Amino acid sequence: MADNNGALIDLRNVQKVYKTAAGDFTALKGIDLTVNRGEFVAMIGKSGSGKTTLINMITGIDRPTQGEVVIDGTAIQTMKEGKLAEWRGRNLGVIFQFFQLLPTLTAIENIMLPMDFCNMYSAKERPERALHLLEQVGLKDQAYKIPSTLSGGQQQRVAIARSLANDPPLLLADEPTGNLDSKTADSVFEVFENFVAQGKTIVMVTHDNDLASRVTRAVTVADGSIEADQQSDKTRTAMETANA
Amino acid sequence: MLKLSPRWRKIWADLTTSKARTALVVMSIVVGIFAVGSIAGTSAILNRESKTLWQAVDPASAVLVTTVFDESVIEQVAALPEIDAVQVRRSYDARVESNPGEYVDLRLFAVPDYENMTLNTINGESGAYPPADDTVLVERSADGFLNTAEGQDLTIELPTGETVTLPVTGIVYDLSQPAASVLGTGYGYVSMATMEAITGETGYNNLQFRVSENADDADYVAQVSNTVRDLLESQGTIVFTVVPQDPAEPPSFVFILALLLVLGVIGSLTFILSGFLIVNIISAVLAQQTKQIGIMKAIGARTGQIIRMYLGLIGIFGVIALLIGVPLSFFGARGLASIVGELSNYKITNFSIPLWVFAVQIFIGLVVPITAALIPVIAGTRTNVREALDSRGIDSNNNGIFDRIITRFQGLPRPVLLSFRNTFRQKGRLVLTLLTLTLAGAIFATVFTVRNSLFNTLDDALGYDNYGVSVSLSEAYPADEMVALAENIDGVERVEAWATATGRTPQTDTQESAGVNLRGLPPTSETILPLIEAGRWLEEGDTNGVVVNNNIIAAYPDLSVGDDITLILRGQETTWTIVGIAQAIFSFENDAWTTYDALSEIIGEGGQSRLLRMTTSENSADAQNAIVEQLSTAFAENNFLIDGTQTRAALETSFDLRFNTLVYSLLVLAGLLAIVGGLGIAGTTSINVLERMREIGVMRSVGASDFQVLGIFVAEAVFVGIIGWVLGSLLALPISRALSDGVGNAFSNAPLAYSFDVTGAILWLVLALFLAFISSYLPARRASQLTLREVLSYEG
Repeated sequence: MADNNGALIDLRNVQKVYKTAAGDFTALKGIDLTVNRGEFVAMIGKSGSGKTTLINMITGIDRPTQGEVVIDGTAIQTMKEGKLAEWRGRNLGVIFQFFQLLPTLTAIENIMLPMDFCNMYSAKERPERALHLLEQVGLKDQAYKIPSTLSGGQQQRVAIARSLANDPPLLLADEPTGNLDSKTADSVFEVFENFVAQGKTIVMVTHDNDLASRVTRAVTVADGSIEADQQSDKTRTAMETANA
Repeated sequence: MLKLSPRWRKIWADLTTSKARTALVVMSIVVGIFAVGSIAGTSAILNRESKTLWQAVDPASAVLVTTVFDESVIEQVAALPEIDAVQVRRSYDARVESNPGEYVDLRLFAVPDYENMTLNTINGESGAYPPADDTVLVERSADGFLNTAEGQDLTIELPTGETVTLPVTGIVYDLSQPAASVLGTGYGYVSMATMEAITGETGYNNLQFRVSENADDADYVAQVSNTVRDLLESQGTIVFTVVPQDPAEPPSFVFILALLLVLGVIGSLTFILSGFLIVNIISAVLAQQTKQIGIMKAIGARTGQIIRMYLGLIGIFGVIALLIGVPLSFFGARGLASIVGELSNYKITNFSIPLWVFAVQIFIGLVVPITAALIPVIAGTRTNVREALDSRGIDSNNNGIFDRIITRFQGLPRPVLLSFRNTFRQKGRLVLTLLTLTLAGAIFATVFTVRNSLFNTLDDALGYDNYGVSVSLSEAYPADEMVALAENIDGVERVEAWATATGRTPQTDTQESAGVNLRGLPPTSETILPLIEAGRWLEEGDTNGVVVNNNIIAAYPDLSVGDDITLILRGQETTWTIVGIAQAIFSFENDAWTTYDALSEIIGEGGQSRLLRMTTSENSADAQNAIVEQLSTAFAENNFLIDGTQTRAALETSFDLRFNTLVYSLLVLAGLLAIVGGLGIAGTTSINVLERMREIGVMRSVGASDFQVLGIFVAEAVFVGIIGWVLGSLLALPISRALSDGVGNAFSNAPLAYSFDVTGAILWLVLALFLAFISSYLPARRASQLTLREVLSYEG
């Protein structure tokens, strides 16, 4: 957080070309996108529109063919995989559609894992912090269960708690509610709103228009380009809270 | 490439995209086919050839070694109704200076009619046959040993100190003799006339016969042998030993019996081990196909079609493995059989491997993999389409009691917990991997332990010949004079004069007599370190006490310490009291020991000796050979005729040679097992990594560095390696004990001096950990080099 006024996410002319047997396929056609702190951004688009590719650029899961990806002042496209993983662990929280909890670890252990990997917090602080996060997602009483004994919604909430383990400023979620029924999806969404209120920035890929209407900003991706970028009133409010 | 239908192309692509995995599957099967085929093939070739080759030389039922007799005796023996055929030889022991200062024993044979031998026949290999007068033929295993060759001269040193030089005009094959290097004696063949010129006497000292009936009945042969012996002795011929011959196997078979036993046991275990390995790898590879099976069912494939597709493909892998493994095992068996064959002086020309070996290989190459594939494939087809397709995330069906117990282990750092708990994740696979590792480790440690026990036993055996140099004499000479001569030689420390006599137990209605080698020695002897099983060793003043070895006890199980034993010595019955029982090691001879004073008096050789044993200040071959050289000269000058000499150094070499093949074969087996076990670890670990690609992605998405990801998988593999090692070492205890006993009993009436070889177990631990490390490091490193996107979309 070197520059409070600078954008948290700054994509500059990001292009992505996949080489396939059928010829080159351009997934992203020179995207420019800035996301500021405290925003809750929904990335909307049809299947194949390039929205997942775009979010993969931001997480560093995939690399651009051309252009720059600057997250919190760091140009991540030049970082090596191993370095990037460590950077990601400290600066990004990633949430997957299929939760991706490690099955042999309990809920609390799954949350402590990123702290172990990135050597964040003291060994004594880790369980306390993990429990606190579980409390925030309403699962303190499920802390010592292994994932297979939890419901889908519970697993996703543990995954969200895990994404916050190292207190990153930015959370990225790829269809986080795609595998959940609408009621459960709603409760997961509420968790997100809470964290935005606490000053986190969240970028979420979704094709659920109902959810998209509840965020502060909706970016519509089509055919590898940004087709629409709408800010709701909530944006300013959220940003003011974050910067207060 | 062949035009395949889409579904075959699909499955081919599925199972061959990962070349490493395909190679692993085929390799595992190849190793199984090779290991089992080589071992079984070697066994089969040796068993068959020993019988075939032995039949071809018309084996005698027994051989009597005697003092010199003449033609008339042969006629009388041949006239006995129990006798079918008689063959005589004249043998004479001399020595040859094979290298400057280095002497080896030479046994010269002469046969009356080389071209019409009836028993234990000798055949010309190359050059002249039969030997012309004043020439010598050399046995095929002895030319290198004697350091001579066809066309060269052989200079023979006679016990009198004189030398005779004969041209070597040819090479013969005499299967009745073990390989020269093994027994430490070379063999030469001369005409009767040449033999008479060398020895100065006519006649024979070696009588071989075949019984007319019941040739397979050892008791009957022993009975006839006694009849023949009595006949010879009634003619004034002394019979030193009667050596029965197995009608089925040549005498040298005893040298490979233990090896065949080891091959049989290790071969069977390797067969089981290969089975585990193949089942392990195939089921792991196919477990990853569950989703594919779901998709195919979703688009209309019937269960039967799916099963046929997968089994067909595994069948192709099996056929490829057979095409590689079978020829390899043929060369393996051929190589091992010819090395071992040389030890037994087998001239193997037929290396064909019997069909049952191929049947076993086909079982390993096709039946085992296809059966192994059936289980996961059928399980896959039973999964309904939705379940199969749904398995997109990380598998998470860990709800068993065991998993809950494992979950209790907490408080360790999460990466360590991950390694530990992941170990027990795929329980079926873990069990198979552990079975493979345990068995491989157990056999590996067993092989080393048998080797160690063998060396231990060799040390014990050498204890009975704890001299530096020993000299046996053609007849009894004054002991004091010989001892004085020997003590005069530099490097000789203590000289002991022993009395020796061959006797036998009396024949009774129920029991045939048995030959006994009786030796009289100073009770304070330093040249023998016997292993006493019961009672005590000899003491000063034991005028009537005797220590017998346990071969005698095996023949007379009722005898024990304190009992009397009757021995016929020089035709005279003598009675002794057993004071102790010593262990016979690597010997089926009946040996007994008493005091020099007692024996020399009874055989009328008081103050005389036929055997000198001395300790030397240096134990090198050179030093001991130099002593032998000076002794020979000094004794020849005094007309003390030497019958044979032995040095401790040469004895050790000969023992080493005798057991080297077994030892090296054991090491080769250990190497093979290391490959099989190593593939087991490599296979499971690398499949574990491939299967958890997505988890690697997740870990990296939450900040794990490459090094941390690697650490988690390596730790898991190492953990499995350690469990397998502990179990394997425990299992090795009973297996190695049983095999050591078996090997010991193949050589003598006693088990090997068992001692568990920790080196083998530690070597296996190091090897297992190294393999675990490499086989997890390589795929995990590859995985960590993939971009996160590739890993997360990986479909295993």
